[in-house]
Amino acid sequence: MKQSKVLNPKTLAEVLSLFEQCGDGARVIAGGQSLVPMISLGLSEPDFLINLSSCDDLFVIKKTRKTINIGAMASVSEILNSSQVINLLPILNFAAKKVATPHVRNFGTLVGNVCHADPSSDLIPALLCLDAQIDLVSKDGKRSVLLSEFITGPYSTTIRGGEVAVSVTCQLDKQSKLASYKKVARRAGDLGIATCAVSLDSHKDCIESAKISVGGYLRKAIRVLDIEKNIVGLPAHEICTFIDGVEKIESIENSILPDGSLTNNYLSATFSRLIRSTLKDALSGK
Amino acid sequence: MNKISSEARFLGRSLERSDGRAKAEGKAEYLRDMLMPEMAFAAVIRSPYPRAKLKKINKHDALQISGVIDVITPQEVKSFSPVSIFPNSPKIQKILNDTPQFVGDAVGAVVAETFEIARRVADEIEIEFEELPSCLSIDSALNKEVVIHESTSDNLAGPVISTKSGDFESALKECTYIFEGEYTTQRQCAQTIEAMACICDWSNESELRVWTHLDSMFHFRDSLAEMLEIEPDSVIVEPPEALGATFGLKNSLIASLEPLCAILSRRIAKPVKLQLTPEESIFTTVSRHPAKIRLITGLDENYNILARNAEVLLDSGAYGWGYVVALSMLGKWSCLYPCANQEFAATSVYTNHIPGGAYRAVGTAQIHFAMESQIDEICNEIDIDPLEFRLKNSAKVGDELPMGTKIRSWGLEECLTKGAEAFGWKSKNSRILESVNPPGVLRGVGMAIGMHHAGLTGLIPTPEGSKCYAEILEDGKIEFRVGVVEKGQGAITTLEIIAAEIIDIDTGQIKILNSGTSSVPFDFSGAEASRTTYIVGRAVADAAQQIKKLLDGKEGKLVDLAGSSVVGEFEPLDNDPLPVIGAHFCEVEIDEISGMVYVKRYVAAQDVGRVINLSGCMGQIEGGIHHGLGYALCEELLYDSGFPINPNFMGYKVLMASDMPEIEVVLIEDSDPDGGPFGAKGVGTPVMPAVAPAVANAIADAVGERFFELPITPYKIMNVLINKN
Amino acid sequence: MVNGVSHPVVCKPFDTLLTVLREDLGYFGTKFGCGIGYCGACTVLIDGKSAHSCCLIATTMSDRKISTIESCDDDPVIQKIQDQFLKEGAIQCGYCIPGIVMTVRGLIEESGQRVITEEILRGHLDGNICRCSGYASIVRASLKACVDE
Ligand SMILES: Cc1cc2nc3c(=O)[nH]c(=O)nc-3n(C[C@H](O)[C@H](O)[C@H](O)COP(=O)(O)OP(=O)(O)OC[C@H]3O[C@@H](n4cnc5c(N)ncnc54)[C@H](O)[C@@H]3O)c2cc1C
Ligand code: FES
Ligand code: FES
Repeated sequence: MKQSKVLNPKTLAEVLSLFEQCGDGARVIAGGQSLVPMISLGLSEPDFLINLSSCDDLFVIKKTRKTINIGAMASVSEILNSSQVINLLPILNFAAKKVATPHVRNFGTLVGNVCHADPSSDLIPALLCLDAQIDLVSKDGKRSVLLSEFITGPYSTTIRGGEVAVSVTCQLDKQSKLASYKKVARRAGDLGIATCAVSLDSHKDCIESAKISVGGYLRKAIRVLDIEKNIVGLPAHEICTFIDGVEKIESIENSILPDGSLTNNYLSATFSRLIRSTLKDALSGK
Repeated sequence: MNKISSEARFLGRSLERSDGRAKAEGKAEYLRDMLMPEMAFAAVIRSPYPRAKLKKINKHDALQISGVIDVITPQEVKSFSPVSIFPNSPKIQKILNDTPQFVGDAVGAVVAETFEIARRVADEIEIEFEELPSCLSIDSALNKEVVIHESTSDNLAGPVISTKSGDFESALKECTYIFEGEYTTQRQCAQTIEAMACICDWSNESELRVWTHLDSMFHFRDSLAEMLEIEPDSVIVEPPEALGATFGLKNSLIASLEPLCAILSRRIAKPVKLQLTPEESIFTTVSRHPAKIRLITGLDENYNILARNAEVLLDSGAYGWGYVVALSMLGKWSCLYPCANQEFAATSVYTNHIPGGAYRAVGTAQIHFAMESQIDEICNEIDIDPLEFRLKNSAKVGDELPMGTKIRSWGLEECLTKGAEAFGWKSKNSRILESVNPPGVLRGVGMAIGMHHAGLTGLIPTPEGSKCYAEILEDGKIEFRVGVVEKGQGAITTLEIIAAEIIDIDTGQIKILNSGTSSVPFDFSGAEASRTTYIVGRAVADAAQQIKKLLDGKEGKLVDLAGSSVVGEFEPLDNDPLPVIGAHFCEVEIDEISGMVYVKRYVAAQDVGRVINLSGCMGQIEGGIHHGLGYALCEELLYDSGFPINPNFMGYKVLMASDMPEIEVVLIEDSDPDGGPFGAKGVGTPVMPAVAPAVANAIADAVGERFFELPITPYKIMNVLINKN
Repeated sequence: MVNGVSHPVVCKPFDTLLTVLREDLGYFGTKFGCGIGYCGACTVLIDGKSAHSCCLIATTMSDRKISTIESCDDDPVIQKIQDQFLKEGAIQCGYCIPGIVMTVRGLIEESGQRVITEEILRGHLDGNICRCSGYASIVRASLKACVDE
């Protein structure tokens, strides 16, 4: 039998040196809400788990003048309770409310959610609207990557061996006035079939800027740039008619991942209706 | 709501269940928790193919692994002849199969010192199969493209049923309105939260002791003895202290569970626990038989039903018994809407899927979806209120049941009127929901009725009577010994109330004992088919009455009678299962974005004959609605080319708390003096059949189109919505 | 620390908290249901917060305060919840009940003075499957227990 071990480093420096010692068989464990079921199901077979929960400095949610920085061990529940997130990043607060149930939220972390890169994640679409980036550290130094580049496909990212994510940073000036988040799931507490985050600014009833992202049965969560760019400048009341007129949303069509009864047709229709409805909610301040 | 007669002391009130506290405190011992000295652990080696020939299994190497005690393969059990699990079904059931017939079929087992080792070795053992062509649909089974079991060359799972009364063909020619439809239902799983398991101790050759998930101890004892070719008396079946429910799933034993575990225990002469994983508990046990049902109903110009025809095809999976399922369907179909000219035909075939089995409302759930959907369609077309139509056309007191007896008690009219009142159902034409549809939401209302039988008499040739031994103990308490299983349904509490009410003493003075086949009277069917209150209840009532008589001369002093004992008995008349009826109403909202259905309001009016334990009764009804809504909307064990694709808690969706509607239960007490004690009927199963059609009818109302296939998923709804736009 | 007592355990490194609670420490009140975070039968409280113990690695929990259903002897709030469950007839097979009781306990802890509505309660229960009751009696009983608090 192979030897396996859980390691409990206290500082980031220790984390990095453990990574070096353990080599490829090491995985970081944060809240464990995705990783532990994966191990139980035999879908992941790490030799070493490097547990981040003893690293006190990774728990913080920090505000600077221009950013909010969410530490690797900040749980979804902590994000829900953070007044800074509630006030300054409402879209993230809306999305966090939709993550599973308290059992999962109390331990699952936002950074772990991003690293797990589930296309159905609730948090990733909201973070895409915030142009968030992930901050990675390895023994060779630091780098920050936009989430849109970090996540490459279902459960895959550009994280490198020996690298640990220390935080996700959201730009405050990217936050718009109007925001909404909606999710379609098969039952309460489930991962989404289709999710949509919208953040908008309007001026004199005209759309000034728009960010729309979607997740769910897609290769990965994406920004719907082809709709975004076409609705800027439109009067708010014309948005729905515009969406209804779009035959196919190219960006979505290119990344749909049909699965069994969730056919392409079902998914395209659902995404287009969901975007329309989320936009409407955002405009009416819901 | 429910009447509590002034004299009744306990009847119709809520009694705290005696096993409740231990369960709430986590102290009750379930099979999963049971350990025994020297116990070894077993795991089953399973087929990864829908159909295959076992070529080689490297027993030798597996036995070398540290912790492994024994490995068995079909070779070691080949002397046992195959048996039939249900009366009239072919003898095809083997303990281990060298020609596995579905993904998950048992081909061997590993016994080890720990469960982890056994499971790992069973998964990783070196094994070779030759994949064989498989048969994955009813059609290909009927075409005999592949013969699944050598002994049944036509792939038929039991005899073909074909019965008729009157002359359907000619009557149909007289009809003004003819409706025809084909309805399909899916594989639904009981998905109990506690995975199935079994412990056998056959270390002493003359006595096999068994603890398992079960609905009836004696049925299990006898089947197990037959399968193992030993005397029933040498088998002692005991229910564990607590059971994580069965919902009928364990109405018969599972060859690769109890018999296999027993053999393993005999081989190593130690107690063995065979624990299924949650996944195995779903895809290797049994599921509800999927059905294709074709219905024709003809009416005259006054909307009287003149002719009815049903053609049923059932998928029995690898070893199911669709024949019995069809009999159950026939029992309800032929009498719910009486008609002089009717024809019923049913064929059940084997396919290479999980075996069909028993699960809450066997056959009844399938046929009601078809039947009650079609009645709704008829009402829509001829523009009649579905409530009126049912009042006029459905069975009444005095109508004949298929077994030849007559309906004595039938609270349908009261269920319909009181249910409609509670729901606010107005005649379909004038029906307007209180508020208009919010944008993006389609709303609809629907109703259906559903009947089931309490007890099995006349359906299956099994002994239906019940006995009860009662004895007055030293401390003046009375012990009633019965052969019924407490699987969560509340049997014990119900029987306590019956006895206490009759003798007129505190329920605390009553002890109901159901400790195992060696200490309780023979009772073949135990807690199957919602028969506990009716049949076992009558036996307990009989014993209680005898004790009451003994007491009469003694001025109520029980201690003075210590040591006295009586035997209570009840033998139902031939062919007399009790018909039980309910009427259900519901309101749904459909989200136009996703096609998702939200059931907002649900009213179930059930004729329970007489409420014995109020909270128990409510719990059974509310729980039955949960299973029914899942059947209607989302529960389906899916297969792709013979491979199960969602056999776990993540993929197989049962509804969660937020998905459930507000439920109002209306209890109707149309008591049957010849039924259960105090006129009680049955409650657990009879709730199920009306649920799916009530929801389907509400969805049809909302969408404006009917769905003929369960479950009615958002994808099916969305397809209709897209095409409508 | 489980229910106020610390237990030195030697277990396999990747054993889940659920496995260790049951198999090494004998807390059989915490039930094994699905093992992958979907049924809630294994719910315990960690520092007062509800968690699926099958989704946590035991060795990462060594300095946490863990409460299982067995802590009811010293916890009047849990007792109150249990009493309501018994009164309401919310217990059938009972397999889900210890987990559900712990979820409700966690909710009461988390809510402090805030009112617990039926919607909030159901949202919390969405991590627990009950196959017997249709949740109706569980919701009735829990709401009564929450109001009392
Ligand atoms: C029943 C259930 C329901 C769920 N429903 C939802 C839902 O509705 N919506 C939703 O968005 N999510 C859902 N989730 C997922 C949940 O939100 C995630 O499990 C959680 O957010 C991931 O965080 P974690 O801390 O638990 O990560 P872990 O499980 O600890 O780790 C996940 C992965 O990320 C890696 N990782 C974690 N942290 C780091 C780091 N700092 N640096 C590098 N790599 C790291 C790990 O190695 C692992 O591969 C659900 C999970 C469960 C079990
Ligand atoms: S056993 Fe942990 S959630 Fe099911
Ligand atoms: S009481 Fe049986 S699962 Fe809840």
